[in-house]
Amino acid sequence: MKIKVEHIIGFLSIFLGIITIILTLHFPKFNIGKEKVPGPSFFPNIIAFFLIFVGILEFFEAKHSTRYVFLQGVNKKGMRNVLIIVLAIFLYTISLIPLGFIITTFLFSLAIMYLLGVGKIKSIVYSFIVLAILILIFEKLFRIPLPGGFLNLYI
Amino acid sequence: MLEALAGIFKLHVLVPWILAMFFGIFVGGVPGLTATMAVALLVPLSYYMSPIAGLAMIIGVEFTAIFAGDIPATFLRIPGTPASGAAILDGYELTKKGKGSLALSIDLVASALGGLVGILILIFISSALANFALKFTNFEYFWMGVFGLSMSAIITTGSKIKGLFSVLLGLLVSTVGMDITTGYPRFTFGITNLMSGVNFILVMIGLFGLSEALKYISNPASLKMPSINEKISITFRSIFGILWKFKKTFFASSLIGTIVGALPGAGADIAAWVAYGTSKKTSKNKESFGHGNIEGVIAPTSANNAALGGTWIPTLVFGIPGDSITAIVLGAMMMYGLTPGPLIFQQNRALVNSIFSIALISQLLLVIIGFIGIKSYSYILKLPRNVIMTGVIIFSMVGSYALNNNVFDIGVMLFFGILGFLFEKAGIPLPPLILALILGPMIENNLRIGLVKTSGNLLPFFTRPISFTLVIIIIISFFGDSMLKLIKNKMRR
Repeated sequence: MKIKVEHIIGFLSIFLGIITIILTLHFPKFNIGKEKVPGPSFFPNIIAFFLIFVGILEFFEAKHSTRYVFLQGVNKKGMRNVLIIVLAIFLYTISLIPLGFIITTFLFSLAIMYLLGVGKIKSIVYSFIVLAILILIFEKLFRIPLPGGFLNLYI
Repeated sequence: MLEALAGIFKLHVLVPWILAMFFGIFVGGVPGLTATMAVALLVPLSYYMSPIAGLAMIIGVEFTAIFAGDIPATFLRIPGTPASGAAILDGYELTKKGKGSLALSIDLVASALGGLVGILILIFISSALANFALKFTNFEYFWMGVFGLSMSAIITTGSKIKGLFSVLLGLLVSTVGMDITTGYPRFTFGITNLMSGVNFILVMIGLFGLSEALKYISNPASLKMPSINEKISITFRSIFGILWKFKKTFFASSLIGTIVGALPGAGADIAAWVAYGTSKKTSKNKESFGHGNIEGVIAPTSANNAALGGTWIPTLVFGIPGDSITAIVLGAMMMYGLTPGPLIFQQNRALVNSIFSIALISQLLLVIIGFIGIKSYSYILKLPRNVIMTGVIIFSMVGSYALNNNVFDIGVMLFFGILGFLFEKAGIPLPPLILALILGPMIENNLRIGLVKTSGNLLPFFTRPISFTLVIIIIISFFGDSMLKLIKNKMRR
């Protein structure tokens, strides 16, 4: 049997439903006096039940489906680009506090524009403009403190 | 009323009012900055002004920010504010067809007219509507939530089962965080940042904004083209012609918006989804919804601005905020020495008339200021798509960070961005997830509190008059079409 998109979704749905039920087993019961009332696990369990049900329905839907490719219309180069962007955002997230907003954002912008085919000079110019706009809006206008990073020690 | 008009056409009121409206366009147009944030930022400034000038600023910024949220939603598929979530569906599809500015111009006029309807309802039947809203208890709120959720079945294009999967995932995400009744942390895995739940603005930025950028990036050939390829040459005559053609959709959506807005806790975001679902359900062109249908633009945009008028109903009449914005307004009014509630209509009639006049005139100003906003935004979008997409990614990240000054939020946005990208590629619709995430707490809390009140008895959920009516409406919205087809077939035989 060839695996179809619906099989994957169905499996995920059932898996999520079961995991939810297992996790809610540790949730405390909720009583008012001697009366049992719906506790923290009540609603997630209803959702879990429906997730399992939908998962089973997806397996039935798979019978009429012809979709075998999960990521339709994505070639190798496209997928590589997506993975690089995801990795870059992750790196941005972890380096924002230590390196500071200015350095991290400028480098991120430069790298992404270069990756997406914007020329070298244009990438530098646009990155400066983007950075200036962001600082103007968030820090100067809205007084949202952006991380200064190690530069804070010198400025 | 004339006295009130004379009172607001003074320089010390007009200048901050118009500036605040431009500020609203700017805030609403930047993803991550919300209308609530804009109002909150203006309130401290308003303390140095007269109450009328302060209220003019707040009302002005509220209406323009909610409209402006539709600008990035239509051009870039990133909702500027949560109320613009439903405006993405057809607005962005029209942009892809080179009709983005037409969609936004219709959106602008529908928003202003929708706001006008909401305000007129506020003026004429505010106390009656507020009394009706006060009859809603947990049972009715539960069904209102379910009714809102039933819209997900209507807005889903493609497989309904995949739509249901998306709904359930949204509901599950809505349960993350501290349980409201017991304070028990659910699905937080020891992560303190998840204690307060998953912020749905982050989910929206990730699912719609970042995922769209990833979609383009996964197709390198599309990156060298300009983001929008159209000239803005729209006449207001043609827009009014289109609105006149779809007047039923417009009036029904504005009415839905006002009623939903009048329910405390249910704001412009829920109103927009309910109006979108209802108009799709009743439209003759159901199939084209989600593929660039003009009705799909008119319905959510007129409803979200009409809802703003609705949110002022419980605020002014009972002193109960209709949404987060009016909660701030309530605080500001108290700082001005004004006490909202039934007595305000007798003791401070002049002020109430001024509020109504400001709200009405704000709709006219919205058209002018909004048009300038659309034009300025479209200049930025003339840049190549690879530059714009970099901007989208950076704004998504910085906007997410700015919500709570927390890098963890960028991670949450990234997670939902990847999820959105995978879901779209797998044919799983995204709007039901957002709808469920917004409505989840309303459904769960009211169901549980209702069950506590009745000692686990479900019967009162069905027997109360308004509850019963809502159940019937839900059944009709789910099975109305099939029942009608069945009856028609039997009649033919």
